[in-house]
Amino acid sequence: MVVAGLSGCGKSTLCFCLCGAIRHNRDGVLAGEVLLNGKNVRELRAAGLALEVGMVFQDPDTQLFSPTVEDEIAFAPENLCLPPGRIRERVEHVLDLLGIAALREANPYRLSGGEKHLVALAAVLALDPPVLLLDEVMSSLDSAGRKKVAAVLERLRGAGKTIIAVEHDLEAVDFADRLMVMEKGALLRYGRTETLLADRDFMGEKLWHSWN
Amino acid sequence: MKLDPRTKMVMVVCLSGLALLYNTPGQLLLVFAVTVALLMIFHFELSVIGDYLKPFLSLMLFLLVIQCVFSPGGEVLLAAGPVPLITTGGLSMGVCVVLRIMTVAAAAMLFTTFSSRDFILGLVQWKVPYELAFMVSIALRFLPVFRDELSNVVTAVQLRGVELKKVPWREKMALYRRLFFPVVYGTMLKAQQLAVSMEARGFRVYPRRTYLRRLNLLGADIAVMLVCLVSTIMLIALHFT
Repeated sequence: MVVAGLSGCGKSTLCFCLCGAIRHNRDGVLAGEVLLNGKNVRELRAAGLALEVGMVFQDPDTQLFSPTVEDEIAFAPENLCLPPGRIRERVEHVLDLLGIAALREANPYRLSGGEKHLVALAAVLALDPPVLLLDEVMSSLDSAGRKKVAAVLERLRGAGKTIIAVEHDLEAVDFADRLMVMEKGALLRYGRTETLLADRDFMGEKLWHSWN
Repeated sequence: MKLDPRTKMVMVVCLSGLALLYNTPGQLLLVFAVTVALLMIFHFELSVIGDYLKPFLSLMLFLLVIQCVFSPGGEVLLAAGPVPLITTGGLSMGVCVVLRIMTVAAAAMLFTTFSSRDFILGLVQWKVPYELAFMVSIALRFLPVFRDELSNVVTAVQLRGVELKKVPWREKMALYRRLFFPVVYGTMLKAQQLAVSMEARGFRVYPRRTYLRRLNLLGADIAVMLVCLVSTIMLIALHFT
């Protein structure tokens, strides 16, 4: 599913609610309930939520802290207490999946913006969470990067993962089967992507005029 | 020479310990010479060591002058009327302080020969709590972030037409004071986001964790560590006898 809307409409805040950051480590009041696979995020420990949902944040600089890309990807499986052989398997799998094996020894801090986003995504994929939240990952990639990530997301969806991507740019939403449009912190429309995109009145009045 | 990070940590501790203990220019010069020789064994060129120490130059000069003026003793070398300005005792203390800083800073260059990851692994394998080792490593990681943040803010100010080089010293200090808070605030925000990101990747989800790699102490490491520790203990014992 893609969550779309103008800047400041609350897309990232929604992500922070979904991953449990609001309530656990960020300021904010969480009204109502957020259920992840039937589990209330209020009742889960912040670190325990990582087993339920993985999130790639908007700013990759605040989520990359290891000296090499390989170490960055290994961080999550190490936290899960996996044996070294399994950690190696996950690291290799994710490096191959995103086609970043060549960056294995690179310092994440010195990569380009697009590469940093790919590494941040890889680091979260190594956790293998059932739900994946992506906060404006596609819009920071070039067209080749977008295609690569879209293909990966397609495979993950086929493997039964739930993917929720926040996107500002509607061109990046075509991989999603559901579209949710937000405005001023509230849900404006929700439905099948092709249905909403085909709704000329809605798209014309509400989105294209204000977004473009 | 390929050595385990823990061996290098022991070397740094020994050299820095001796530099802090000794208090004569001759002894400190010897420790500094040994430090430089070790760095050269680790393929650091003299020019690289010099470049590394250059940022400490103003601090060293400042401390040299302070020690010369405020540590009396020995013969008077320079006086302003009846007030002695530089004495042999003060000069000796000043040289000691400079050599001490140079030795500790130069020894710390050994930390640049291994990654922060190996630093954490080394400490954890020595039973230092992971959280503590990780905290130190993250603090080191944030230094360039803080520097970049400061540089961005300064560039933003200059792009608004303020030529910092031409601003008088007093106004420049006032400007830096105003810039300080956005930089610190920005860095704190980044630190908070980093904490969220770490928890989102399962940091401390279980009381313990596993590691992809493991460091192994080889025979050469143990030999070097023993030589360093035994010689340091002997030198300390000699110093106090």
